[in-house]
Amino acid sequence: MDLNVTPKDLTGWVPFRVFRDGTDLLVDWCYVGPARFTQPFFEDTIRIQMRNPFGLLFRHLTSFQMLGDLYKDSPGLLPTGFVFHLSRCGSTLVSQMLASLDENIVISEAPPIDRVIREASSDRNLSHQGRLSYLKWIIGALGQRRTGAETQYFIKFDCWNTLDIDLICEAFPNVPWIFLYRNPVEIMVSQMRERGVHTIPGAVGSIVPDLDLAQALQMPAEEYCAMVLARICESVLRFSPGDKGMFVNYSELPGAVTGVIAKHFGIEFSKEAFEKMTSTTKFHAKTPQMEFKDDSRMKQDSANEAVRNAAEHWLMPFYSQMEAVRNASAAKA
Amino acid sequence: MPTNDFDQFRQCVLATLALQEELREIEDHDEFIQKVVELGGDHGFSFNVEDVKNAVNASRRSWIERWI
Repeated sequence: MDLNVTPKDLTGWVPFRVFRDGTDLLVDWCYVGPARFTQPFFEDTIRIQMRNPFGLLFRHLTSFQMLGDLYKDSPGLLPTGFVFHLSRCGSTLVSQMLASLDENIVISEAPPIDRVIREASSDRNLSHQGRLSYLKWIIGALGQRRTGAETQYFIKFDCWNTLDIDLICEAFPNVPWIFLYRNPVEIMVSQMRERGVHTIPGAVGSIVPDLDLAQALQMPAEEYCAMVLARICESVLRFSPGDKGMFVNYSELPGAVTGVIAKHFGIEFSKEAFEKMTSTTKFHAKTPQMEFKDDSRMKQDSANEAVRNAAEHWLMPFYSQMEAVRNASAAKA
Repeated sequence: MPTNDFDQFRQCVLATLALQEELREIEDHDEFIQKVVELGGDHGFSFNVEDVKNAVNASRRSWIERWI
C-alpha cells in the first residue's frame, strides 16, 4: 500500500477498484489523466487506459480512508442527476447521449460505486453517517474535473443498486433522479437471450429475500429473473421520491433525454449540443458499430409462454403502477 | 514494503510527478520498458529489462484476475 500518498498526488487518477484485503478496505487507482469516460461502461474506459504500459505498471494502492481525505481536499462536482433503471430499457442510450458532451462527466455502472454501496449497506460496524460518507467519498472521487470543461456530472447505477435507492438519495438529497423501465416482456426476452449478472442466482449477493441459493438455482430462469426485476420495481415504488424522482418509460426515448429528463435534471442544451446528442442515438448504445433500432415489436413477437407468464405474474402489477405514477406526473406538468 | 530495486523504483515513480510525466505518454511497450530501465539506472536502482517485463506481466495478471 502507498502510505505516503496525499490527495494532491491523485490528480488525474481514478479509483477503479475497491476491495477487501483481510479486514482492510483498499482502493486501486489508475491514471487516466484528461481522458473522458465516453465508453458505454466505466469498465470499458478503464480497460482502454490499461492498454497503456504506464497505466498497467504504475497504480496507486491506498486505504479506503484516502477517499475521505480526497473528499475533504477536493469534493468533486455535485452530481447533476442519477439514473436508476430496470436493465435492458435504454439506460445506456441515455448515458451515451449525455457522455457525448465534453461538459458532462458520465460514470456508468462503475464497479467501485457498486462495491461501496454494498459495503455501506452491509457493514454492521459502520454508523449511519459513515454509510452516507462512504457514498459521498466514492462519488466525489469519480466526479473530479480532469479536463477543465466539466460542469455537470451524471451517474448511471447498476440496476440492482436501486435496492439501496433510499441510502443513495439520503446521501444526496438534492440530486434529481430518474428510473427507467420498459414493458416487462421486452426486458425478459432480452434477459433470456443474454442473462444480466443480476439475474444469475448468487452472482450479485442476495437480491430476493427469503429465497436461498439452492431454491433460486432450482427455479426456472424466467421465474427467478422476474422475481429479481420485481424486487427492483418494489424498491423504487416503495421509496417516496418527493419531487426529486421521475419515472421514464423506454418508449419515451430518445426524445426524453433532451426533453423531460433534461428539464427534470435542470439542464438546458444548446442547439449544437442537441445535435451532438441526437447523432449518438443513430447507433446502438452498447455496440456503437451497430445502428440503433427500437426492437419492441420484435421482442414482443419472440416472447415464449414462460416469459409471458412470469412477466404477467411478477412484473405487470408494478409496471402498471409505474405507468400510473408517470402519467400522473405528466398530467401535473 | 518494497522488496527489490524495481519495487523501490516503482514507489519512487509514484511519488515523483516528473518521472510519471516522462513515462505516461509512451505507448510502445518495448520503448516503455527500455525507458523504465534507463530512468531506474539514472536514479540509482539496479534492475533489467527482464525484471520490468516480469512486473508488467504480474500487473497484467492481477488486472485480469481482479474479480476472481
